[in-house]
Amino acid sequence: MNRAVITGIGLISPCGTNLEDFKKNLYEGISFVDFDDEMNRLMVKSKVNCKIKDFNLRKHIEEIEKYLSDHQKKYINDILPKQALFIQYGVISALKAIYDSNFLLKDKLIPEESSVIFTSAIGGSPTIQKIYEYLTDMGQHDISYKDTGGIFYNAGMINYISLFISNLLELKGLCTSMSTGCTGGIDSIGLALDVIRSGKSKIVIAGSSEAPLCGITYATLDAINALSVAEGDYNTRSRPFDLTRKGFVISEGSGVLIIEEYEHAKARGAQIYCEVLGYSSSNNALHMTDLVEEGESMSRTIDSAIKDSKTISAEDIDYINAHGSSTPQNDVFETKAFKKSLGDNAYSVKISSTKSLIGHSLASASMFGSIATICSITDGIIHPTINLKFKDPECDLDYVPLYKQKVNVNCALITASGFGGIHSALILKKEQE
Amino acid sequence: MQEKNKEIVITGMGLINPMGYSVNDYWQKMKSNIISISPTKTFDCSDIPIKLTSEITDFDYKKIGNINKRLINKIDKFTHLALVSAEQAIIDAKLDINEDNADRIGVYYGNNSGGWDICQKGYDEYYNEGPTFVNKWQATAWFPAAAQGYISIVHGIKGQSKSFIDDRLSGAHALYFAIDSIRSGRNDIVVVGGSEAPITKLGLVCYADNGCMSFADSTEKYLQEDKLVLAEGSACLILEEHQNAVKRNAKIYGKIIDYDSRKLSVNLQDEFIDEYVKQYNYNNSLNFDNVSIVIPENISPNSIENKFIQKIIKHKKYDTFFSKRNLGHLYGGSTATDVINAIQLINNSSSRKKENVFIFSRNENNTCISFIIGGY
Repeated sequence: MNRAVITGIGLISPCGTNLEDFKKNLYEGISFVDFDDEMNRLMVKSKVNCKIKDFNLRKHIEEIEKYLSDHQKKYINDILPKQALFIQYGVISALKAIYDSNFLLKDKLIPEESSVIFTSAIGGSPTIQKIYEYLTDMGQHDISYKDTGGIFYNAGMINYISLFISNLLELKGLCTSMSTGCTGGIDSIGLALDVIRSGKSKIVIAGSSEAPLCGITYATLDAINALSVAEGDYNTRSRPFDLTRKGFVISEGSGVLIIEEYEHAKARGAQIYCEVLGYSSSNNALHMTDLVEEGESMSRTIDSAIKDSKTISAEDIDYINAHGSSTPQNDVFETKAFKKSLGDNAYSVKISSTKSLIGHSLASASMFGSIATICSITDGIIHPTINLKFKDPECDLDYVPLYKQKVNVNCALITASGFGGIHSALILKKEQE
Repeated sequence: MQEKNKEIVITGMGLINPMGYSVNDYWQKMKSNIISISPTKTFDCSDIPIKLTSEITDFDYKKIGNINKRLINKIDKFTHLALVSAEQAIIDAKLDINEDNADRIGVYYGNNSGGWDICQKGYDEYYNEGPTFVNKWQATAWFPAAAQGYISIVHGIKGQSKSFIDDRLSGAHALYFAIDSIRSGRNDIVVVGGSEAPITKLGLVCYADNGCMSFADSTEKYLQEDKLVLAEGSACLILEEHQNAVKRNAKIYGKIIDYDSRKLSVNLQDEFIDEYVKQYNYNNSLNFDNVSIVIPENISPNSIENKFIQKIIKHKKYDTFFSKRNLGHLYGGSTATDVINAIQLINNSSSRKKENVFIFSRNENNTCISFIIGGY
């Protein structure tokens, strides 16, 4: 069976648009959650989100375009500035990852051997909302047709990022997109793993992108009491596993990994961050949003991911990057799942939630969790779960509260759950010959 | 690692679309060359360039499918249609989903754009009543994975499941990766299909933007073009490994002979056809020797796509079945519908049983997905 390794990382996140800033801010335990004027004005119950501040597309294009051909420069400059934000985040992250893997500088992507897989939960919601306002004069009258210049369709269709990257780089392998809700990040990596294992591609650009921060998103999630109404300072309102947690903080961003067949990576002398060892995804088949308390459905998924890895057992897991969304039900559910799957080892394994620092960016959240985990494997440091001050008796594992810890992470598990009753789990491991 | 010698067969079918609420109903109308495309009836779209659609106009939510009435209030039409087609296919396959096999059965569905009906309703509530009045089902009803989620809940399906969103290839990618999931051992059985219900005002404005839709105001004009008409509906197949099907004594309708997905350079144009044929043939194992029917993406015999197909199927001894001419394009529901078409074409003619059907799907960016379906 072909092995899959990670050879490139690119991201646009609230805590950094390059890997160094991203992990530095995570390790230092800095919260990027803040008060949002629009949420307050709309009078939704939650008042906080996690925004990427001062995203300058032009600057990011300038950083990368020196490595592109004239045709590619024209393509990206003509088309990308007009597209929805989640598309801009996704494309820039992908190019950063490709650069990081040395495919823009030294090595060349072989078109027939390179594939693209992207995920997003809700695509271009802010753009669609603006278009609705344009079509209805801010909701004053019924929808009347106006030409939207091709932007509406691309914003509404989640597949545009994959197509853009594939067209830009003239790739000929698989080109697809999924929408699996909040497990999307892990799912793009999982599908890439299967593609590499099967021999259908040597390289997969696997990414996830989300830019959902707009009124309709706040209103929709607020209507089901999903968003954080925790009290206290605004930047503490994402508090996974804490007794006073009360919902998740909505966020945004994009993360992309270059997933490569192991021998191919070795042959070109690629940097290898870690190996993608196992993946699993399943449904709880019970409810679109509720989670069964005993954690059985997530535990089953974890067990299946461990089995898929073929080489590790539950005892080998040193670190879990949890879904840790800061909702009352998820954090108990996950804790029980970890205990069920890891047994006694659950009490010695380190667990942290990236969402405590940068909120929940839906599909891309588990991609950020995966990238944080890769950093832990390479650096031997686990970022903290911040805002964890009041112990919940039902969440009694070691969530690395408040401060980073130096830990040799050889093997790690990343988990995620999403609307639709879906759970996904991923196993990453330090590369070994 | 995939076991390429695992034979994948089709053991159940279900569908609902403007031509019929069952496979038999639909096929009778297709054979009679009935066209379900007409000027949009359910709302005034006089100011929208898209005039023709293929609508399910007499859909009674409460009567179609065994869907719990409380559930109907929580879901968008695309999910309701998906539940109907999935239920039909599961019953047709006599598939008993229980504690012993639920985690070995998955749902792979294609949907291009989620729930337009509920999306539009949510915006109406937001702007006319206020953001805090958006209905509580919006969050779980409009996102594209809602169909997958509800199918898994209603039928107790716990295995690996995915929703693909890829323009006209949404359902094609769902089928492609469903086959892979069985071959790699992730699933034993997959409920695979697709569903779309984009025919709302907001949906039509969005699709008018994609450059592919027909703006003809009559069926006669549409049939002279090579453009698409949007259809709503859903289709579903039960896919399983051959030995599994034999073991549970399932009726087998047909089999997946081979499949392929790749991306060609953009803009299929006359002068580049030979280059596209070269790209398509690169490392492609599809064997066209026994292909006697082609179901293409387009509706016109004179299209450049048909010229391309003529070059890749060198023997040229095939008939073409233009499925989308009569029904319109179901986007996410298109591929499963075409597999059902293929099975009907093979099984309704004794001479065809040893012959294969080639289904070719493509989007405007030249991602191509192909299936060869055989009889059993």
